[in-house]
Amino acid sequence: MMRRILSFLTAALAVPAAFSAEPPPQDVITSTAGVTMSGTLTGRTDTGVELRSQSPTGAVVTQVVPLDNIERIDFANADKLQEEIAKTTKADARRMLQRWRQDEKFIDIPESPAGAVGVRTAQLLLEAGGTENVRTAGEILQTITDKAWSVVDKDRAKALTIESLRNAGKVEEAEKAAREYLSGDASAEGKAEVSYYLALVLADKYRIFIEDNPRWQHDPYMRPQRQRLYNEVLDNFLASYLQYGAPPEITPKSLLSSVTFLDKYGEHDEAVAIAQDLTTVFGTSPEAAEAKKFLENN
Amino acid sequence: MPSVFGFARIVFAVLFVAFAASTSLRAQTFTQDLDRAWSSYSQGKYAEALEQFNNFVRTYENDPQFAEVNPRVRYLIALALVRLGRWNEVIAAVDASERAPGKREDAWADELTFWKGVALLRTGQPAEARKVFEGYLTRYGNSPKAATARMLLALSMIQAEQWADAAKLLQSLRRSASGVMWGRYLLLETLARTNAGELDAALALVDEGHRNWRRMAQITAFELLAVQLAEKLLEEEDKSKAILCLIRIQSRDELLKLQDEQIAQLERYLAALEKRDPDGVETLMTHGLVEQVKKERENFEAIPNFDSSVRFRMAQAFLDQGRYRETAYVLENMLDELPPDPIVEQGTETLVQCYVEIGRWDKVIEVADKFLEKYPQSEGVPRVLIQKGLALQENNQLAEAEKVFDEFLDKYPSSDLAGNASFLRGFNSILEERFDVAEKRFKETLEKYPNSPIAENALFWIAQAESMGRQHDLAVPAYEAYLKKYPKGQFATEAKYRHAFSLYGLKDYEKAIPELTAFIEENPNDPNSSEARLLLGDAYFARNEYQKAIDTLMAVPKAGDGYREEAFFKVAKYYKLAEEPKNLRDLMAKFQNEFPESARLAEAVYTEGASYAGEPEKQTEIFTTAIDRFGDDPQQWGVADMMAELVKLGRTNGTEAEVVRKFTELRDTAKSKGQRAMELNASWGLATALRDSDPAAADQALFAAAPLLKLDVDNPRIAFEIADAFQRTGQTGEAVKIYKEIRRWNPVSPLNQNVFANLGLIAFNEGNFDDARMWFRRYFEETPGFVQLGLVSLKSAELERKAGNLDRAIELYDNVLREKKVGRREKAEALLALGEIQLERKKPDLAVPYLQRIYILYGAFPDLVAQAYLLSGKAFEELKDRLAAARTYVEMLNNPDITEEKFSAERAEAKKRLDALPADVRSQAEAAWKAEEESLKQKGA
Repeated sequence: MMRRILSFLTAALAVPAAFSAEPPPQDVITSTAGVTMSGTLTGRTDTGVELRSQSPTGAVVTQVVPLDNIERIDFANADKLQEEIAKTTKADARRMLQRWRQDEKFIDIPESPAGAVGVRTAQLLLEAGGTENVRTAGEILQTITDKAWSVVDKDRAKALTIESLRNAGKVEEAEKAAREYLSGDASAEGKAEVSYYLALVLADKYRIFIEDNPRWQHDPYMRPQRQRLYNEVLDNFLASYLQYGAPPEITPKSLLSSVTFLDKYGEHDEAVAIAQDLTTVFGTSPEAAEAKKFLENN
Repeated sequence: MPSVFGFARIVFAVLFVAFAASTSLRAQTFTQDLDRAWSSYSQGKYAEALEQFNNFVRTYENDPQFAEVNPRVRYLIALALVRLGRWNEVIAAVDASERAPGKREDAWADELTFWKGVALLRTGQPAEARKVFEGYLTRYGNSPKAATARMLLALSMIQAEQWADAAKLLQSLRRSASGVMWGRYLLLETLARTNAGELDAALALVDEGHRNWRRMAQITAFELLAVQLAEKLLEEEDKSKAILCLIRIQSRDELLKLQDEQIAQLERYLAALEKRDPDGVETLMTHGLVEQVKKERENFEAIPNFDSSVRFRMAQAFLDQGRYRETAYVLENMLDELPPDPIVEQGTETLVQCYVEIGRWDKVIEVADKFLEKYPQSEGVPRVLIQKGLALQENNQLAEAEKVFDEFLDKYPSSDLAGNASFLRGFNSILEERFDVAEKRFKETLEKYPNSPIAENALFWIAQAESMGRQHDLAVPAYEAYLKKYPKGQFATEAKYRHAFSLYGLKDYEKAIPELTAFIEENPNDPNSSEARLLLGDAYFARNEYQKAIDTLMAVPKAGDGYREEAFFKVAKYYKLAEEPKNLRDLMAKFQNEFPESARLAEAVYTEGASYAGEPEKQTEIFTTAIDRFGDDPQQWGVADMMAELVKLGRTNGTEAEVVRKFTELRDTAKSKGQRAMELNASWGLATALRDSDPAAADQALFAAAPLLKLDVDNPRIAFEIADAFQRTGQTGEAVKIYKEIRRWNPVSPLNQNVFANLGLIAFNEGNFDDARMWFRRYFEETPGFVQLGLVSLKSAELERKAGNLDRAIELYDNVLREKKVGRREKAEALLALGEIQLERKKPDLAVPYLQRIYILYGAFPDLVAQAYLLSGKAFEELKDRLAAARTYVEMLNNPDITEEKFSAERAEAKKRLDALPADVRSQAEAAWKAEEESLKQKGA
């Protein structure tokens, strides 16, 4: 295989300098006639999008480009969006909400990052908590579910809706919805995310089980129930780590949650192993810092 | 910079002017030929142009005008060869151009040097290419082609396998690169570092590439590199690096999708270039790149089993770390989706093993079944069957385990593991306590598989099965046979003990005593040594060697296994029989000092107290002293037994009032001292003492004690009586709380059947039928279920009937009828319900016997009797036996027990139904009734 790769690489000629340049931070509309227009998308009408651009003379012009004339839109900095989103925390919730408000109007346009922005915004609002934030998150998720162009974003919005049920204390509803979701045809991203939320629901169920059955080890009827629940919690925490397509901000959370769970219930060696994975594989995530602290204390 | 074409034009213009004066035909031909060649070139007809230029050179190389144009012609020849991709010839052409005398433009040298480097690279001369590019960059470092030249320099180093140099260069290039170019450099640097053995650095690059996949134009090539790197990392001890490498590799389908997106982006760019500059260098190179990436994509797509290959490597990394859960997860999610093949087969067997390691027996069974279904001919089937059987045993599914072992022996009698299967089949019988069957099976194992590694086990367990089945006469020679064959076998120590045990079992103390003595001396710390001492003590007692017995028993060490405690009581038994009360009392006092926490403490106190038979004050003192001493230990549940015994003594001796006073004082003192457990125990003792004389006060004592309860440590018996008191007085909320806590902290307490029964009955009476159903289910499933069986069965039956589960309801009603401890009313209710169910099922013939039993045998319950008569009459009507119906109604209407006003509705209905029958039938029935009454009167007289 090595020789073959070598031949692939050395047979290739250099990428032209112009192509190799970083895409400019502008939205680029390519028309059906092959003409490209760069600028900033500022608004939306029923039938088109508004593009503000600078003419060669320096004048700023806003034009409405009919949707029917658009072949594709390359949104500015779309390639860096995932990385930026992964670094946001709940302190960024308001800022992300502002961005969502700007991007929302383009949610149904292919390649628009609005869906990804909306999902993350809703996530951060739910993390921040509070009635208003939860309500706003719900609205955002509904919009994405109804209108987003991206199937992945729709799935993730549905997944996050399940999490919002859990946050609202509707635990049984959340579990039922999660199980239905996982047995359906959702995308890999959505399923990985919902597995994490289901794990949180089940972890809470497990906590209640242990409170109700503190001496389960001596109870031949409770032991199998405990085993089933315990294994299901861990399987679901592992899903986003070991399955394809997990959203990058979910996996570190899921791993950290499993470290906490394992440590709480006395599986120290397993907790340490997963904490090590978290710091190695997701070393730049916010959760890695907590994992590192755990390792230092253990 | 003017284009080549522009220069050519100028040259030709100059030439034309210079030669304009010459009117020779040769001059015109020279120009025409040159012009023609140039025209072909400029039209892109490079093959023609090349031939024409070469002809031109051949024709005119000695022409005086040739020198002037030679450099340019050589230049164009070289470029034409570049355009035609004839790289071998490009090098010579460039050299020729460089050698050509005459003036040349610096731009030409720039261009030709560049293309010479490319040609050297393309013809597999990377070292030379490196030199050319290094020279190029030194001289033309600011050329527009410099960036490309740097890239090609790196490629030269790579092709020359100068990995370290390549990596260093690429790292510096990457630092100042952006967009897709960054991705190209990263890809090449990863390759270089991997080959240079700098695996950590390569891993960091793979990680960075995964986090920035959108900048990777050659994503498929990159992921293949990642897999290669992972292969090398799997050879290292720390597998976490391999995991890091593999964990982010996407699925094959996703990678192809991503690659297609990148190809589409490249093609868009190429289309724009082709419009703008169809012959440009950039266009040429972009075209090459697009073709190359497409080829990479095609080759990637053709790789079989990419996904499973990556996932297996990941599973391997986890497995090497002993991370069985993660390994199992990866394997299970993959194996279901893959078509059966040898790798998947092996992976499935590994999956079974992983689940064995983490004790997930249900998954072992599930995966084993999948394996057996998918790979019925696999050589792994015997191994998997064994694992499945063991898992079923662990899961207490012994009948299923036996079937698996039977299946194994049926299908694979000659397998290397057949002996194991046969042995495990026998062991299954041990677990089922079918010792005779186990013995037979172990013998079969030995007979059929005498050379199997399991033969030793089989020989030992023959003896064990006989011993456990109390066939000591067979066990003794069997252990001897084992010890003869395996004097230093893995079970030798155990066999020696069990041999002595069986001799003891045969009451052959003459032989048992020396063997037990030898065993104890040789194995003082063996787990069986304490039990051996007990047996030895008993053997000495049996031979009337009392002091030896006592000395042996009192030498049993305290080890938390209960044997020393048992030894005390064996000696106590002797002292009792020998009528040595002082020794007995001293011994029991010693027990209390040594085992204050023992569950047999109350027994010791009782034994001591019993030794003062006929001295009630002394007995009372013994119990009172013990209660004072141990009463504040919440985990010493024997205190309740001592208190119960004290109450019993009080009743026997007529000193109940004193007992009440004593407990009251004890309680109050404990309360003032903050001795929670003592206060609780004393409250319970007080309630017990008051139970007969003042039940209300007894309950009050319990209610007052309720807030003291801490059920994680306290005696569940006390808690149960408090809860029972609450329940009896209608305070069901308090009762439920305590019942639930009892179960929570005492999951295997015998009281749980009472707990589940009472919780179910409370829930039933409060109309919480779902809860009731749940508690009754737990009563039947988790407890022996004999306490309150009748009442629980009755209420459960009602619930099942409400839910439409009539078969289960009938089963439960039958329970009620069978159970001796069920009250008569409950039985009558059960009969009525059974009759009603049969009527609902349109089986009046089955209903009648149930209903008749009520009014024949349960006359004490007139309400039920009235209903039974009516239903019985209706049943007879359905059976078209009008006379029997009429007789039933007549009997009902004449029954003196159901004449009260409250039965008027039933009587009215019976009358109505009777009147609806034909007159002659009524007459017959009345006549029969009168005749029977008369007959009874005469019999009575």
